[in-house]
Amino acid sequence: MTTQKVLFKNIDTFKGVTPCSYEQYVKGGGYEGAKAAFKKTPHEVQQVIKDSNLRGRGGAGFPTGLKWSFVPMDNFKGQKYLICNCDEMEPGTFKDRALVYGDPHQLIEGMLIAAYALQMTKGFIFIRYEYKKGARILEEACAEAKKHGFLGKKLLGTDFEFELDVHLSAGRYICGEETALINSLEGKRANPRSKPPFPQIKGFLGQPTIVNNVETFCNMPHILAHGADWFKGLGLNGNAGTKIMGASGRVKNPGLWELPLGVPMRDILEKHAQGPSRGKAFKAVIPGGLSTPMMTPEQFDTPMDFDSIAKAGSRLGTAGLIVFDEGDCMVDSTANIMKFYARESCGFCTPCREGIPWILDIVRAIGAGNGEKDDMSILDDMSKHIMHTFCAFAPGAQGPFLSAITTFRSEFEAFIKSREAAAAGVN
Amino acid sequence: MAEKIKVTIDGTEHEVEAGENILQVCLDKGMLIPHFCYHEAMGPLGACRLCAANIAPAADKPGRLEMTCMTRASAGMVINVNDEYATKFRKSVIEDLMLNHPHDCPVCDEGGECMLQDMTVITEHQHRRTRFPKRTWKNQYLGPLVHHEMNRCITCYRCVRYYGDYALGSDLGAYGSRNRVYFGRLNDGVLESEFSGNLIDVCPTGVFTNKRFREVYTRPWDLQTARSVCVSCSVGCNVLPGFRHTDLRRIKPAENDAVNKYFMCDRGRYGGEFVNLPSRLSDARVSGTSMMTEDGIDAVAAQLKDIATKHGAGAIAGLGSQRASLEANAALTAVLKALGSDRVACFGSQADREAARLAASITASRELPTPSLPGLEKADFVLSVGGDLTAEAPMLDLAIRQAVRQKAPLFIVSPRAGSLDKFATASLRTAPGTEAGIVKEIAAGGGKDFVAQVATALKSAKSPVILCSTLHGDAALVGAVYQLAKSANTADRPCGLAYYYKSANTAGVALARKDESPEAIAADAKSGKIKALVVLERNAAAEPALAEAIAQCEYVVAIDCYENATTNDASAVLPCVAHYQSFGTILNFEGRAQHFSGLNIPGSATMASSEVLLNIAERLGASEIIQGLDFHDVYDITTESGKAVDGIRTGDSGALVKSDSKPTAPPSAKPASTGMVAWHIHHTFGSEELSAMSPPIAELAPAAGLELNPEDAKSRNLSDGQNADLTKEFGVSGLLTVNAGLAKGTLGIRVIQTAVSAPRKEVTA
Amino acid sequence: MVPEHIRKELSDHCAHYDSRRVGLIWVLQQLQEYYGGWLNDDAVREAADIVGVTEADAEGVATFYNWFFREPVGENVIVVCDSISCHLCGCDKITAHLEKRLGIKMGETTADKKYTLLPVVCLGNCDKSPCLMIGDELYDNVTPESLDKTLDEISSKPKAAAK
Repeated sequence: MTTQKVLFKNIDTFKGVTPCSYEQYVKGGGYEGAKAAFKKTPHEVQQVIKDSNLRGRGGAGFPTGLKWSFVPMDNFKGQKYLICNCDEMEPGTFKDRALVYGDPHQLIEGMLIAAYALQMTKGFIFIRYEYKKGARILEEACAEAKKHGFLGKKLLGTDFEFELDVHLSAGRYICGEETALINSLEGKRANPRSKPPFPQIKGFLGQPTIVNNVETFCNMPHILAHGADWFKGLGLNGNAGTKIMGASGRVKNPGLWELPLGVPMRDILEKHAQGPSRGKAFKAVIPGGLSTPMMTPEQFDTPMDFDSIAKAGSRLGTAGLIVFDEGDCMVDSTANIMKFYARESCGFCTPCREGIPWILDIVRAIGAGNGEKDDMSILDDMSKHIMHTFCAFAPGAQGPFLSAITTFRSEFEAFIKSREAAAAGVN
Repeated sequence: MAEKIKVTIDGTEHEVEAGENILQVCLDKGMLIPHFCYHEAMGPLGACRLCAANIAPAADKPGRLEMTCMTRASAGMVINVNDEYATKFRKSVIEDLMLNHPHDCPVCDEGGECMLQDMTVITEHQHRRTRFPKRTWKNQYLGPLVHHEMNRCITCYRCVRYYGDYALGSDLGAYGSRNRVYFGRLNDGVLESEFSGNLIDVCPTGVFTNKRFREVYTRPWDLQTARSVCVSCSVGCNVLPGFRHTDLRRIKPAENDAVNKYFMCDRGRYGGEFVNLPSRLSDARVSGTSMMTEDGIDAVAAQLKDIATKHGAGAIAGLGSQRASLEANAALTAVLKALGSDRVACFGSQADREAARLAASITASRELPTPSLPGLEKADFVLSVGGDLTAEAPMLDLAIRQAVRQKAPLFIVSPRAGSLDKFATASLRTAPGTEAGIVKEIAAGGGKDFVAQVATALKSAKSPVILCSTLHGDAALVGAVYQLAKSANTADRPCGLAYYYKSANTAGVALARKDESPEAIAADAKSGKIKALVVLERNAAAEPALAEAIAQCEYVVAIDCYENATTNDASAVLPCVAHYQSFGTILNFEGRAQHFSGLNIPGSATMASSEVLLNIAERLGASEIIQGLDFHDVYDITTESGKAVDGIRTGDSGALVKSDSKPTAPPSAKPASTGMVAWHIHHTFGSEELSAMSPPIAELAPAAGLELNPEDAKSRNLSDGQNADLTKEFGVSGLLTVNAGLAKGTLGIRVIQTAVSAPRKEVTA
Repeated sequence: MVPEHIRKELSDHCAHYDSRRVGLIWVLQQLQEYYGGWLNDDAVREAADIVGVTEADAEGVATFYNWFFREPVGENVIVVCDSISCHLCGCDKITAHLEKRLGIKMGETTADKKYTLLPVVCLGNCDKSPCLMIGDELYDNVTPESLDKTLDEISSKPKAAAK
């Protein structure tokens, strides 16, 4: 199986990421996708994206063409906005950093194509605060693109204009949720909004808005340059395109690889990440950034694509594997995981705001040898309870949490029992 | 009208409107689904997650847990509130909220009327499973009205949604994030909104409580309450005054969908403490001798009869009250009638009288629609003329804010910028007396700048409203506004018109058949033609037009609830109960007749002023007059349905009164003054007579003084903060505030009622 | 108060957006930099005034986001990633080392106002765990030894001229 480098054509994360210059980018076929797009009508470009079966790379895997189809088109005269979600804060996920730091023009070209397809004349790249340098790289690349007629007015011989701003976030995980991101971009607290209305109809400043992930946009120049069928051919088992997959944690060679969608998880773990880092067998993997349920070694042959991982009871998410080995305490790991969610909850709705910190308190108490015999039943209750929140944040937290207390329940119970035993004077 | 559909709630089929909010449907039908963040005025939010139920789109479809507040009714929907999992989930949400909530119910001021208490009981959360420390906060000083206790907060966001989103206040926010969200001001300080007291009611628990109420320990269930109508302005908000022992402890808004719905202003809420003043009258006082009210009534009746006999019927006149009920004012005419007189003056000046009477007659003619508060909220064009809504009729301001939130353009024509101006599309500052001219220009069409902008917006509006103040005695303006509204009013595009007034029942007495100018009565009193004045609930001695007359008149009978300049110097004082203990009918700005009732409280007078007067009339042997006393004879009104006004009961939505007579022709505008014109500046706090005596209101009242536009100040070599002596020019002096928000050519005089310092006279029987 | 020309620049930037409010976060960021790394009450009010929102709104935003500081911070803000990958790779040791070397706990600032130590969520650098940022600089695969070297370098640098 050979892997064609598409998104990482100009990027080698193992050699250190430096931004690909405009000249380099164009030399490698850059902006050809945009040129191809502008020869088509906006509807035709949308159709190409739809035909390509491109699914959103931000984590949910929603078909991009379908997401776009709700945007009002021909009879709509008002302002529409295109937003790139580069608020990459999902633990275990570091792909967008590479794409932005390594090949900024690829993202700009992708956004230009989307803007043209959706007839959106204003765009924002919403980038997390810690990627401040990436924001500068993007700003410079935008200036360069403007200089060469890929941003600004009268683009590529048409009357189409596209103005692109880089917005440096002030830092908050919840901004990755698209409606919270829109609120944040509007200068508000990043509490999510209720849907409906969906952003496609009523988004940024109440106008039709599309929010797509960095990687989603980065695929577009290639789809337009080479066609939908070519793109569909890149993946395995009927999945379209490649995917930037990563591995971190207890692996010998953590990193990022561009691989066909549908590659078995074991390939990443053993071939690319080169197996366990400290000689202990793998115990569990969180497959797609923190907010996905844990998978265990017997599931390692599952293909890394949206549907297969879902069938295995987890989610592909961002395809950033977080790997645990037999030496890792799952109570301690769960405490760390819940600490993240407790800290990053926006505080809007009750089960998330109050429930997750309570879970954290209990898990910490168990880990510290202060567990009580009813704790597991409270945790069981809470694992269901936090599913009914306003946005997907707490259900995201539920993924690793529920799988941890289910799969590794004996570890939790052992802690509680040992305390009880100690209290009873038995050791 | 939305389509009627059927939904099933807990096994029972209900007919509802398509798209209706499920939670509201259930609440309307008396099913109390636990909820916190949802409030009918603010709509759904979806934050508290308490109002969960199992909802299926159809009987044969699987249901799932949804928030009823976020769900809109669709045909065939099946809602199971009592679903086992949903019930468990709701209990679990309460458990979440109680993790950090202090168990201080026994000492909490909210106890007994706490929504969190109620919801905790309803969901049957009884056992605390957490063993971890609770979060704690520092509280803020928020001023004399609202007390802050953040530890009790359950983060429902109601406060900021009310204060910021609904009331458009700017100084209360949600700060921080995760499980550390703080609701308060940037720093300690007095809440700026004139509607801050509603925080107490919207907060489902004890974070925001009534600072005055909590000062003296009282449990809400220990209060005695009779539904009343607020006396602090002409809007007529329905209220629930709560008494404990001898004192009024608090006022809460009473829901009335036709008037104030859920809210009221701070002046109304905190302005009732005049009831408790030590200067409250309980005994009659005749020639300096204190006595039982009954004996006082005997003495007064005898004295009045004597004067009438000696000097003839024309020697006795009455001064009616704009803050007393229709009944009391009618009883005053009965007393006078019994003495053979028909001379009454209810207003402070002829100008005020003309303006109010014209406005009230226009309103009562029902020629043009008068918007109610809910109606104002739906306006898509608002023109406010001649006054400061926030200060003169606060709840109208809050209603206008709702229209502004719905993007209605707001235009203001007045001599001085008020709180509402920052939300105005455009404001025009113009000297007093010139507003009528501008209104006429708008009516004429054309014009330029502001006038053209208003005219254009008015033309394209579908439900415009025009509001006009009558507090500044400008009848020409009242007339000009009427003409403008009439010209804008068509069958398919009604133009709402509302006038607002100085006091709670000004609109009522303005419709009295008999009323003359106070100047005429004052002149006759000074000349000695009038020998006796019967003053009803009115501090006439403090009114410039009447002060001298009161001082010089031989025999003055004052009927009031508290000691003031008039009672101090009166020949006879007859005590009546204060408004919130009294009963009667008053007319609000819409001409809505509302009945209010009261309680007998120990330590105060026992009779309403109407009863005092009827007793006098009885002593005068006028039982026939009393028997035949008919509202319709005294006031030019019936209810819109043609029924008598007397039949209205407390707690009704009231009835709009109607007059058969056409509005009188408005006077032509006075020629524009070339010099400076004096203008009385009314403030939300401190300008209205009764509420100004209430300690928290007095604390918030600005200092009395004068205001000038910077240019006018400069040309007189006066600067801000200086004591300006304008005695030569205007006959006034005082602390000067230079205010760029005051129109050129205006001398602003702040109307600040000073508390009556005179102690109750020590008298020996 | 910022000088008039900066105020104008901030205000003009807001005018560039379809709604001035969009500029609020950017304005707060600029003011934070101007005021030495944190936002005092006046800066929040100033931002509200420049952008045209209520002070409650500005404070709501200033207290919501991780990268606005409402109390003074040191010259160098050290943020240590403590999310799962770094946790697995030993960020606790790094934190312990920093706390010992600087003599402060997480969330505190050194007495000489040189360093503030804070935890941060995943820095998106998980293949080079554990990692941290000092100011705008990202440090990969940090060890107590590499950290000592870095801090020695920073400490030897003269204090940046105050604005």
